[in-house]
Amino acid sequence: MNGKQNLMERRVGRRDFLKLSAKTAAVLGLSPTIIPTLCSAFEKKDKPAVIWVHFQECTGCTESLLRATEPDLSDLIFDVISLEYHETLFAAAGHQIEESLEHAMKRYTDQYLLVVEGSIPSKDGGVYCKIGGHTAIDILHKTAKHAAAIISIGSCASWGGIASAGYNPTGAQGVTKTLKHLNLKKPVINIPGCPPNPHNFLSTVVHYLTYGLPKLDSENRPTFAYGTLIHDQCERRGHFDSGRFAESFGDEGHRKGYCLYKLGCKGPSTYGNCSEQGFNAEKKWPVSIGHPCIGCIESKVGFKQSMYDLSEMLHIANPSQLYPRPVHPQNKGISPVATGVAGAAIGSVGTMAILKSLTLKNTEEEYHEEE
Amino acid sequence: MAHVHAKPVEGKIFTAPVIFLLHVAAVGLFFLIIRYMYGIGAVSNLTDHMPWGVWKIINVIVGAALVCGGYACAFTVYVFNQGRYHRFVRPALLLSLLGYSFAGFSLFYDVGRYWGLFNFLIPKYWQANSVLFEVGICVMSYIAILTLEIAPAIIEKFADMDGPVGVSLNKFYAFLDRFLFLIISLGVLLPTMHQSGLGGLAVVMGQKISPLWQSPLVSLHHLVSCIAMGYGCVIVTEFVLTDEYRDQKYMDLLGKLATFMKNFMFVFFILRMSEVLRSGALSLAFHYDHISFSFWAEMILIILGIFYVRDENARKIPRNLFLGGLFTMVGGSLYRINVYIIGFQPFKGLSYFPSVPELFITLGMISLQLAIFAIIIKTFPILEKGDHK
Amino acid sequence: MRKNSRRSFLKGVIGAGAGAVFSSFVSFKNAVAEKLKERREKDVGMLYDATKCIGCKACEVACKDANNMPIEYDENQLWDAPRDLSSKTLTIIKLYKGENGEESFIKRQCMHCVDPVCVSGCPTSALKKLENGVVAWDKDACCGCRYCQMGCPFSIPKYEFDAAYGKIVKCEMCSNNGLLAAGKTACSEACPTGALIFGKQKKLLKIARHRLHKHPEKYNGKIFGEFDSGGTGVIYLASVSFEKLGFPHLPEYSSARISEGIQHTIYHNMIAPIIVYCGLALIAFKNLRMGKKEEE
Repeated sequence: MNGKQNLMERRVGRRDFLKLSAKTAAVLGLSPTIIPTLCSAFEKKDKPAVIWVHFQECTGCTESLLRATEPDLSDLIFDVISLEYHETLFAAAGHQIEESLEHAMKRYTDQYLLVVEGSIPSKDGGVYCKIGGHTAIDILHKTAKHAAAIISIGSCASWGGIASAGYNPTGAQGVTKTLKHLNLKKPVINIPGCPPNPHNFLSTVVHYLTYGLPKLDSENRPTFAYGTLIHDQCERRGHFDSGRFAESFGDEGHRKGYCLYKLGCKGPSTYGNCSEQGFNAEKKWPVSIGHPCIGCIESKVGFKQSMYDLSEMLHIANPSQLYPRPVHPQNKGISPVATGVAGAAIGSVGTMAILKSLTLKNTEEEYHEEE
Repeated sequence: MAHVHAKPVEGKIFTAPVIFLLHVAAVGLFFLIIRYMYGIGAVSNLTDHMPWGVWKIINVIVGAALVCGGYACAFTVYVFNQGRYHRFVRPALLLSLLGYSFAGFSLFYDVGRYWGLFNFLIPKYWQANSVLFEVGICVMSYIAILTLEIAPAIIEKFADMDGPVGVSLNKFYAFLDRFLFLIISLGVLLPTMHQSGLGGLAVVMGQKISPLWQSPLVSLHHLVSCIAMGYGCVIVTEFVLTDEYRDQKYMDLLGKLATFMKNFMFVFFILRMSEVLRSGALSLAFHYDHISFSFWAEMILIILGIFYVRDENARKIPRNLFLGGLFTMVGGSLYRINVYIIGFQPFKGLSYFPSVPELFITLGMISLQLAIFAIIIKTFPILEKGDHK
Repeated sequence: MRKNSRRSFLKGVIGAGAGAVFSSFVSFKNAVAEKLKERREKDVGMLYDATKCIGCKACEVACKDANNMPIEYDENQLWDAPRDLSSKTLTIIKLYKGENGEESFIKRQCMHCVDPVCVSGCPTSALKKLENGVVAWDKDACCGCRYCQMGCPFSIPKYEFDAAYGKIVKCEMCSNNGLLAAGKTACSEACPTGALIFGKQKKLLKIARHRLHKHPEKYNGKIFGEFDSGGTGVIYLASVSFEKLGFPHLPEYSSARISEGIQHTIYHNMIAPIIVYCGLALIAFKNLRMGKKEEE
């Protein structure tokens, strides 16, 4: 059954489908003229198979996807693609679902898209995540071997995520690193975020179906979503550039919606489209409701740096609206230790002088005695 | 020269004070290494708004002025033919040589591009309009002259040596003796030029220096005060190094030097006050700020320096001579610090205080000088007879 | 004998002092009377009209770009916004805000003086006034003594204190990056409003005078740099008084003239030192010979 037939069966109207295509095109940053191409791609091709595996995860990425609206994507997408294995969404369990997985891998071998959600523990032989008696590493090895491409959804699958925080007791790591250890060479697309914007995932899938792999950055993240700093598209950037900051939660600046840099916002060191796209119909994201970005996308920032420590500045900021005043002298400050040293030196010379003059005074008295 | 009866001071060379001084010098040297590795900013509080600090002002300018004893004694003895003061010449010359050599060395770490200092020797780079150029050339030449002037003291130690070295040393000694008058004259002319030059450096700075110190006569102020400081230094050094003040004749001689010191200090004071009054700057001395405090401190020190040696009776008392000399030295030093640091105010609100490494380099260099001086007077015939400490 | 020599010594000292005072005054008078340096026909400079400046800082950016200067951050380390001229920033736009709402931008950089104090003070000819009026720095000649920093009435030259082998850094009017040879400076080329124009100094003076004449109500009545400190290559027009914009109140001659006047008077052709030396040598010779005779 091809896409069009499927959609017709599902009684998806043309309008809804066009809405989907338009939304996807918008996320991809493509011109609306692309929409017909997208539509025909869906219509003509056979539904690609998707195998979705879960490891050390909270299932937030799946939930985030389920919350996508405009239109209700869970129905449409899971019929645009053929979802062959998904632990959360499938009714089946136990041996039944295991068989389903084996079957799908055999049927669609070298053709299916593997989606990985959650990190893979590597310590102690990977015992910290076992499903059906197999470790996550083994499952990944088995499923990735015959996949056409792999999408790591969420920060956990991309680089380890929250499971890798602190001293990383389970040795949690992302798909890319695990595949390297397994010596498997497969195209991997990372969609980090905790959770990522569901449209990042959806648009990647559609792009893959239509044009193949999207343009990726050095961390294999699609550049349409992770090509700019959150800071560079933030609606509060004007406040940053003018030096208007919230200094503490609930203060006047915070109430007025000033920049959250001083509260630890990691926007300046995090690449993503959270500020552009927002996360739901209202396009809200953490900063828009008054909490600084925690950099959950970036492996060096999220769950590694404190939420409230000042962010690194990755880009040269624009010239500020602040001007220096005509005269302001540079002073390097007076250190108390230095004053102490100087005082000690002067004091010791002074003391020696006083002592000397006292001994001389005695001599004067001797003179008088002699006379 | 034959009537010099100097001989090396007896006693342990590495006494406790000398060892202490060497320790301070070692700390200073450590920070110097950091200066050369990481730049001036890493070890000092100098900034673009305050480019000259304790290194230039204290190690170079004050240091050179304090050791003017060699200069003052040279013209007292050889130009005014007061041969009686001859015994003071050698220690003063040694102090001068050390002081000027260290002043020169201090330039090598104070300036930013020290390899460029050799440009002072290359005619292509000479810029004769610059006061600093004149000072540099004069100081370089003067160090050479001082070396020649102190050479007899060094040679005397090896005078009994046999063989070709002894012969050539004695020949050199005789040669120096013959042309001493030429060397001495340079030893009087050159300091006159560069000490006034060290003051003349202030002229281009115009109104960046407070009118309490800025004046077209600033070079004359520096010259007159340095001569007084030179005498003061000789007096203080004698008190520190010997117990000779118990000898009446010796006290008379020292008292005479104190008279010269007083006269020069008095002229300096008159010249200073007349300039302050003429420029109408005196009102600045009554602003309640660190500049006025420093100004009055300087005035008080100068007056005390004059006061302690005011007349013949006062000069009979050893303590008065010592304090007079000391206050003159400190007053003259404070004057120079006032001109170039405290009085240097390109804009309001500028403040400067040296950092710890900066201070240690300054103190280290001074300590090293004193330590070397102590070592040399114990190894070579510099000080003259009597009971030595 | 003692009293006489003391008295004569005193007399000598006072006489010398008086003589010195007199000669200093004379030399001071000479110094001022010493011919002031003049603007030459070929000298180039710039005219900055603060009333036309909008504070866009395009000049700062163009200068950084043309001279490959590094970024300099503000105190918060957030913005590419230097607070002042420094070893990384050759020109800067500052803002004056007065009490009664009066405001003016002001551009600061090397003034390329007609009679530069830095050139006069530099002992090794590292700072030179070129044929075209630009004051340029030569890294091979410089010894880093920073006398130029002490002397400059505008406190312009900066030194790289944070470098082991530091340089003196200041605007050189693009003479060292090829733009001046092409007849322009980076900053004046970038200025969108024409607040900053480049050209021959004499011509720019004419333009400035014309503007003052045509619209006296717009300006404060003075062309800064026309005569200040002997005249500067970069001249200024503004609506607010120049003291408020951070310029010192300077006489109409450069302090270099005073210093050079004194130096030239005393050391002219080294006549005075040589005479003094001969006198001293004679006296010393006589005294030493007398001393030897006494011994014999």
